[in-house]
Amino acid sequence: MTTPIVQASKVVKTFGAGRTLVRAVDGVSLEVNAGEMVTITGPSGSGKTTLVSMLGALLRPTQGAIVIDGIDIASLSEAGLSALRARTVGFVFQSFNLLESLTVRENILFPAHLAPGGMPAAAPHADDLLERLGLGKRSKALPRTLSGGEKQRVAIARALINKPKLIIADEPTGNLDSKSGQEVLMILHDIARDQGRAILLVTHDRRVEEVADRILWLEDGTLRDRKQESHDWTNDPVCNMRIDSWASLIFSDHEGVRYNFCSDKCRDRFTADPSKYLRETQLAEQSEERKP
Amino acid sequence: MFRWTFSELFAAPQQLLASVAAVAGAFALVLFFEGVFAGESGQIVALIDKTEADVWVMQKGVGNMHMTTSFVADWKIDAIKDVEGVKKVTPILYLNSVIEAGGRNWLSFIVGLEAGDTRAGPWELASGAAIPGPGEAILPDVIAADTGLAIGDTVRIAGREFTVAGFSSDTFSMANSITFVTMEDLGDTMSSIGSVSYLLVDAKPGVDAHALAGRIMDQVEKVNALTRQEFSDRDFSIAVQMGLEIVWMMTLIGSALAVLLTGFIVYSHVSDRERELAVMKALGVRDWAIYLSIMTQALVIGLLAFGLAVAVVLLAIPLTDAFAPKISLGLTVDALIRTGAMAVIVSLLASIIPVRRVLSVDPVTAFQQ
Amino acid sequence: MLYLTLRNSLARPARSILTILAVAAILAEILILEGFLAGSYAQLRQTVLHRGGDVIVSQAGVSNFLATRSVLPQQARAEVEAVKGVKASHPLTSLAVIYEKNGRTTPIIVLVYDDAGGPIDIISGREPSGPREIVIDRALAQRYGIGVGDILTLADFDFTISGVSANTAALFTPLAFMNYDSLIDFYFESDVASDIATFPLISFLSVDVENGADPAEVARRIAKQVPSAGAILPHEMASNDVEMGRELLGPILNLLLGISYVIGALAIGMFMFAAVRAQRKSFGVLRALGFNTRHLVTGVLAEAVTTSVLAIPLGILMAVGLAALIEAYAPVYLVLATEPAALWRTGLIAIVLAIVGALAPLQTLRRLDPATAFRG
Repeated sequence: MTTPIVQASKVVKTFGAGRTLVRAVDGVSLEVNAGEMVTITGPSGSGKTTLVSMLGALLRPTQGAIVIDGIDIASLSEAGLSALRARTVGFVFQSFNLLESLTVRENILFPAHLAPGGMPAAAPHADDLLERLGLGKRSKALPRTLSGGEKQRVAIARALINKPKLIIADEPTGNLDSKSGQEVLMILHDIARDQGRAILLVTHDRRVEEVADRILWLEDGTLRDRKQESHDWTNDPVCNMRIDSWASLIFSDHEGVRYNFCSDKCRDRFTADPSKYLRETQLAEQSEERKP
Repeated sequence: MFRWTFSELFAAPQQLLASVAAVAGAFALVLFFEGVFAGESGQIVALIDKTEADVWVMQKGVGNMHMTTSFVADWKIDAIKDVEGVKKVTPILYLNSVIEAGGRNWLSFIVGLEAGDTRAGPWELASGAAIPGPGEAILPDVIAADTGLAIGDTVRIAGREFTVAGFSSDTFSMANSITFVTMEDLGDTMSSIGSVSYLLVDAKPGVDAHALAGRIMDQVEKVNALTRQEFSDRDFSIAVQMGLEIVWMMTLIGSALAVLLTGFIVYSHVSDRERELAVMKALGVRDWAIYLSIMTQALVIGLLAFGLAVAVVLLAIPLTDAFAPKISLGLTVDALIRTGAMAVIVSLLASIIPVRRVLSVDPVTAFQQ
Repeated sequence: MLYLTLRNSLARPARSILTILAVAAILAEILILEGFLAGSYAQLRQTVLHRGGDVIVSQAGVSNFLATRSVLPQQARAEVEAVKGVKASHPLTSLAVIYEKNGRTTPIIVLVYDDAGGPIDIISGREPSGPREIVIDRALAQRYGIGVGDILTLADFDFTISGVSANTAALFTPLAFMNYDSLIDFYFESDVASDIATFPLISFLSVDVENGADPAEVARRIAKQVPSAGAILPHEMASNDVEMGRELLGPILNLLLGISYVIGALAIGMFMFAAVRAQRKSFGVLRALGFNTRHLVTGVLAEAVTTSVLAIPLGILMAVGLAALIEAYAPVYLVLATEPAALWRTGLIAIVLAIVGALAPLQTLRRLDPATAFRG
């Protein structure tokens, strides 16, 4: 049996106190193993960033335990958390967060400052990463001269420089065009598969479903596991938006049938006059059937 | 726009405080420098102001006390007493010299008083005798506080030894403390037999000091007579003028410093908020409006700093009196107006520094990630 | 971190230049104050030492040259010259007069000399040779726009300016030089002395000792044999005057220096605060990457110290420029802005101020949330 790289048990994170108390993460448990690529998805404000901040040792939970590479982060000081991150976790951010004044190669090498042997020892690894990620010719360029895809590849190389066991990527394709986004996802997938690193991905990008080992759905601070193939596509009867009924939380039952909605507004319109929307749906379905 | 100007300025209160304090420091430096000269100059005329004689009579051609020697033959005392409107004439001998007290050297006005005279003597006594006897001296209390000098100790005045008989208050300044001895003792060291230095003339009630001074000059040969105000003004102005150029230089240096500091603050505000400025431009706000907002920020910083500097100096006046009595600080209206004007000019100059940066903000960047 | 700091500074050139300029201006201001103090002491020293001689004889008990009154009886000169080891003595008389023109008054110290003790640095014209001739310090010449050949009226007595000298001012007061022929005329014809008996004819004697004689020994002999006189070595008298200057200017200048140090610490603190604010996102990323507060503080410290180190030479250059400006416009003040001791002290202070200033944003760094890296 493999030891998980990250293990979260009944993790709760609250902000504020009294009437302003917010439970950003509420009783989440999860394990991510080496070589596994796990995606966390969910609507905006569902607590994804808070959860990965804790899983990446950036935040301590209010309750519950998070164990990263065998170390309970609750027992660590601020400096201890920093050291754990430097050693074990690599980050890839949506907005790249490259150090603008440093060249591509310097950016990649920078975290090696914290590794044993420092930057000189990591230099061959950096050059290897530059080649592998197709950045060999851009090694002396400054971030502002790079395309979005190139920036994200630099960020991935930087995340890998200290050979971390866990990589946390927050919307890594969020600022990229479709081709670059696909490229980045495949790189991350290969890293998990070929190098045996655990990858925790926060994304809305549907394409990730093709490469992820597991997809977790986070909503209102709680996590639900979901198989990649377990979609149940349906349409919002009001606006006709495609909705995964498996994940949807806005629904209304009418005459023994459950209808899913994209928003409360659509649900309210539907409940005010269900027959209007059901008729339209039927008409649409009939016209769909009549097509050869 | 102005709402943005102020909320942006106060967004980082600690940074604003450090900024305002640093600029205030530059203004305070100028005010202190001026203040020291004003304080010293005020102290230089303390004897003239505090003894409150109506008219001062001195040797013809002399119009000052500071860095001057005046000799008036003693027979002229009676001649002045005979002038109409004169109530009392008090002669003093006066020497500007170095005294050795408490193991240190001090520049001092040494005033020789007629035996038993209280008219020109110390106006406020700290301890001991008010009137010096033969071989005795009354020194400023600040010297006692500073060196541990005590009544009964020996001091050297113009090469002669004197015994400290008392300490007076409000008689110390760096450039000119006031030491009182007897006229006879001072006359010996000055070899000025038959002469006095200045005559303090008190007028009879209702007599105009100016007219009396005129009458004295008409009736007594080879003397100059000035009202207390004229005499005090002349000595004050000579002392101030000695520091005029250096005060201007320090004002210049302090202003340059303040321009750089304020400039830095507004520059960093602009460069930190480039994206917001881009959004504003995208929304149609004109360059001049943004620029006006920057200028307002600079003005607010300049005026807050000026206010703080004035407060610091006002606070420093009693504090230096209590803890550094050797330093006399003064704050003149003139210095306030000049530094206030300087604060405004500094702000306007400083707001020029980020102009290029404001103009170069591209509204298109508002749409970029 | 130092490398990142340097690269960050280079990436924001305008801000970095502005910061270095401002720190340099503060250092220049400190150096000017230090230079003003050092210059004032140097002026006091040179005023005595430029008079020449191996021993200075003054009125018994008087051991200062400036801002004091010394009167020697006329026969003292003969008595001094009779002392064993004395080769020659040269009389000097010092009198303070007020010069007034166009509503502006300036006190002047007039030094009367015979065959030694005159101005040693005449920048235009020549020494006074006849009666009614006077050499004035260039500060006076500049303040009133007067020069060689012009008339200088003191106490209703007209002198012709025969020369303008440099390095002849002390205690914010310009010196002027005349010979004894002029002094006698001045006493008799002007209002300066109402009674000739009250005015000093000789204040000091500058004494040359015979070859091989020990000046200190000769001074002791003079003091013993001439009861009306005291004798002192020139450098001792110079030190006494410097000491007096120190009492006069030290506390004030030290107060102003203290304020300058506070300004320096505040300004550098403000720069570092602004630098940290501007780089908050980068610092957040660094924190996320595993760099701890100590690393970040080291970076800020490195930036502050680098700024100060770069500002030091610039500050010295500014101070030299300002000192030259002061010398050009107000030569009554001497500003020695490059005294090695002051330079070392100011350099050291610049580093200390940088360290103190770098602590200003400590709290911000400590509170920096690494999770900010996730925000877009």
